[in-house]
Amino acid sequence: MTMISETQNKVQPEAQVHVSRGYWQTVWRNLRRDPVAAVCMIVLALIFAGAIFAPLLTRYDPAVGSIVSRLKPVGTEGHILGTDEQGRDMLTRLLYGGRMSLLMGTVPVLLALVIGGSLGTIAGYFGGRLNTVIMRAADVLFAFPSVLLAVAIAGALGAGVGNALVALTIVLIPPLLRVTESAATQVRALDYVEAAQASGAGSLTIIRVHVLGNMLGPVLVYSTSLLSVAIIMAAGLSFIGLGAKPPTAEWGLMLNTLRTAIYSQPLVTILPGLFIFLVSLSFNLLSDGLRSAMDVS
Amino acid sequence: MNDMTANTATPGGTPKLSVRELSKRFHVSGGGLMGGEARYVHAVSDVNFNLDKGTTIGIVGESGCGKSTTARLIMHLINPDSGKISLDGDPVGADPASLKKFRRDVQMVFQDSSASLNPRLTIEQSIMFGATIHGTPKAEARKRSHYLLNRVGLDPARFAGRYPHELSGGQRQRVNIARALAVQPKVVIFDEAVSALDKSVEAQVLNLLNELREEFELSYIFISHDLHVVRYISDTVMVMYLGQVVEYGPVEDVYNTPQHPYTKALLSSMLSVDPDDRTDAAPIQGDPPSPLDLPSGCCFSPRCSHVADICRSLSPRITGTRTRQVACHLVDPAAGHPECAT
Repeated sequence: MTMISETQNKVQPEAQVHVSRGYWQTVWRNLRRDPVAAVCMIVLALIFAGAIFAPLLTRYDPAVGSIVSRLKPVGTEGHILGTDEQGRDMLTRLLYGGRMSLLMGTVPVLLALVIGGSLGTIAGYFGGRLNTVIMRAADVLFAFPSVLLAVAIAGALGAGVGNALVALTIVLIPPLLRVTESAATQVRALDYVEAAQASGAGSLTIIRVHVLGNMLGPVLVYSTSLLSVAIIMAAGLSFIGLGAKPPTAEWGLMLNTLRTAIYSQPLVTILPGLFIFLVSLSFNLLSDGLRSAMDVS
Repeated sequence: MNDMTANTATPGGTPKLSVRELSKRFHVSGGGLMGGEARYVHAVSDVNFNLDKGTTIGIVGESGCGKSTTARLIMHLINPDSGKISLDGDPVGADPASLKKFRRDVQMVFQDSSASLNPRLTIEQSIMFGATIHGTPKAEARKRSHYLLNRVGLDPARFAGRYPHELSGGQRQRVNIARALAVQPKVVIFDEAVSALDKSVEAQVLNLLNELREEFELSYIFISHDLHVVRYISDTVMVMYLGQVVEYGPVEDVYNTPQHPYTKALLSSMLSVDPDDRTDAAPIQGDPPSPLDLPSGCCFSPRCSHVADICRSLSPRITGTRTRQVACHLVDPAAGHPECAT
């Protein structure tokens, strides 16, 4: 009894304040409880971990093959997933290829989120002429089909991973700009933003404290779904020779170089495509899961 | 009636908040690249009033008469076309620094209690925000927020860490009041702040407002369409119709002896507890004219039961003493005279 009363006395009045579960804690809890989203997160975590820790998981070099062991089937001794047309270990190539493919899929989305997101927030929050100028400029980019535009930009800049990243970023900016603009426009019209203005806060403070947190939801959902598109587009650019160059391992490029073997080793040939499909599908389903997880008051 | 004598006892002193010739029109269409005649909504025209320390001015009128626009213009949430606003003699809006200071001295509570709290911030964070903007250290702002929560009747231990959606409408509006008071303002504007609450909660909040006004020596601008509430809380009342002030004066004077036909009609629409006073007759006919297309002359003339020829041709000026004014040709035949001072 004395122990209990002692601990009670030690508790500061501040610590007794009831703190409710925050919005993002609730969203995270909902997301974990959604079986589809949970499986997607596990799949993505495994593929990302495999790509990051590739050197620890395989003893082969992704660029060095053996002329005697070309196009071995799946399940070969020493080459679990077979070998490619130059006798390089497929598992190794897929793990290292994941590094490049995931990089080319995620970096443009992140860059577009930063650039398009800030422009969209500015356009939505300040409105008026600034909004017109920014949004009409985005409309010019919107007028082109996105894949065609990416191919055109990458083609004009020349083949290479860096140029492909630039091309994909430019293509992804307009849709993100539009989503953040509409989210910011909605939030800025709410009374609490007006109340914050009335308390004398500057625009940057209001955007940081009151606007960003409340527009993050839809932007996050949309970015996740864009990741699934970007992965496919990045692989596509490499497939047609505008992205990674041989002998770099990259899923889209691997699909291209293996396509001649599609009749002799169909299973080996489709493996890179299977990974592209898995990552893209997982991001897509995760985006859906995120949307419903955010559906809380 | 002590409040009223206090109101009139300082004719020479500087009123706390003074609003002069405040006007705003909104551009609707035309006049741009496409040509055509520019069309405007005259949301607020030529609003004047003084607010003395420790008193409350009520602004009444039907929907769309410019009550809320007046509040937003005073806060500079919308930029006025013209008008001078000064607080304790200092003009406002000349430079950003004066506006920031003004926005600490004047605060606003909105009608929608849930939309005016950021759903991602806890109650405590919402209340602290304004104070930290003005340089109050975090620890002190937190202490003040807990004090204010206590003061508006919410236990800080239970409510400080909660999110707005966990509270009822009445509790949220108390939080909004605490939020407004956290920057230690001199004037608080209530824009239909109790209109969305149910009657019992409304009464509690009104009593709370009266207590807070005494404790913090506040002045209120109380905007409402509820005439009973305005009578209860205000010292002075301003009746607006289509963006114009039609009658102004001490609340009991205006309620007991209304002079403008619109005020009379408005007051006779009040529900009475006395069954003998009840009437089926609508006190006022029709809808207000479109603010896009104001009638010539007095803007109330199309609906006025006492309309005379002059009302249709000449807009009446608001005339009277410093404390009691009305804009009607029938009350003051000199109201139409262009030389007539307001």
